[in-house]
Amino acid sequence: MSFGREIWDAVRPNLVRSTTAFLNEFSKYFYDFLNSCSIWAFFYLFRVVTSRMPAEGWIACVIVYLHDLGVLAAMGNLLSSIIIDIVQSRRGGAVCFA
Amino acid sequence: MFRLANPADFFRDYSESPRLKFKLAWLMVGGLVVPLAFLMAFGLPEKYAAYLVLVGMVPFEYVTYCVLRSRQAPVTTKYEVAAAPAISAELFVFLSDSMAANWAERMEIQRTQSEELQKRLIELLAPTRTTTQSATAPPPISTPDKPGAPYAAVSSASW
Repeated sequence: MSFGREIWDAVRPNLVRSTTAFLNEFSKYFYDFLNSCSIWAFFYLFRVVTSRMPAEGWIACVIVYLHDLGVLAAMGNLLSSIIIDIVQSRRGGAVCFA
Repeated sequence: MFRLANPADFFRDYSESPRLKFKLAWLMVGGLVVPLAFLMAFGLPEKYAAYLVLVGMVPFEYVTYCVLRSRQAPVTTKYEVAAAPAISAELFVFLSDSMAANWAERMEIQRTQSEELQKRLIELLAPTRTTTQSATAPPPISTPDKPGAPYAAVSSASW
């Protein structure tokens, strides 16, 4: 048995196990992504709509800050959701960091 | 009535239910982001608002989860507990015997299935031998009568 073949036979079971676990958990990450995309898309449309409005004063400030914080919340929500999913799954999720 | 939920339950339900994730995320936007945007318009510095959003996101969703769960959970009052049917001694013995019999039967089925599975695994995982060696016989051992017998088989191999 060659040296390379021996290495491959040792690595392959772990690789298959990790990849299978990651694919099993992949739907969760995809749903997290869709959730955050829904928030982001809402605030994008919110900005498109409100940019056509003649708003002034504190109302304009609220609109601008709402858009900024909403996009930040979408990114934070994606990050926290994925971290929670990885911690919950305890298997395969760490493949994301490999 | 507000009841604090176990954080482990929150994280498990949050991870397993996409609908709950969606609901909590949008409630977080409505209950945390919108008030903070108003506060920013009236003088709250942006860096504090950003930190509050990032740090308070998960705690806010946990509190929201507790509120939702408190509303959905059936409330058991002391009257309902008092109205529960009493278990008599005869009923208790009957239930215990039934559960024990059921348990013994299930254990027997599991034992039979595991034995069959073990046999099949042994058949499947039996090592495949080359044509120079039989499946059951051990490899030839070097004896004083025939020195170097195992090396004869090796030397006849292709490598």
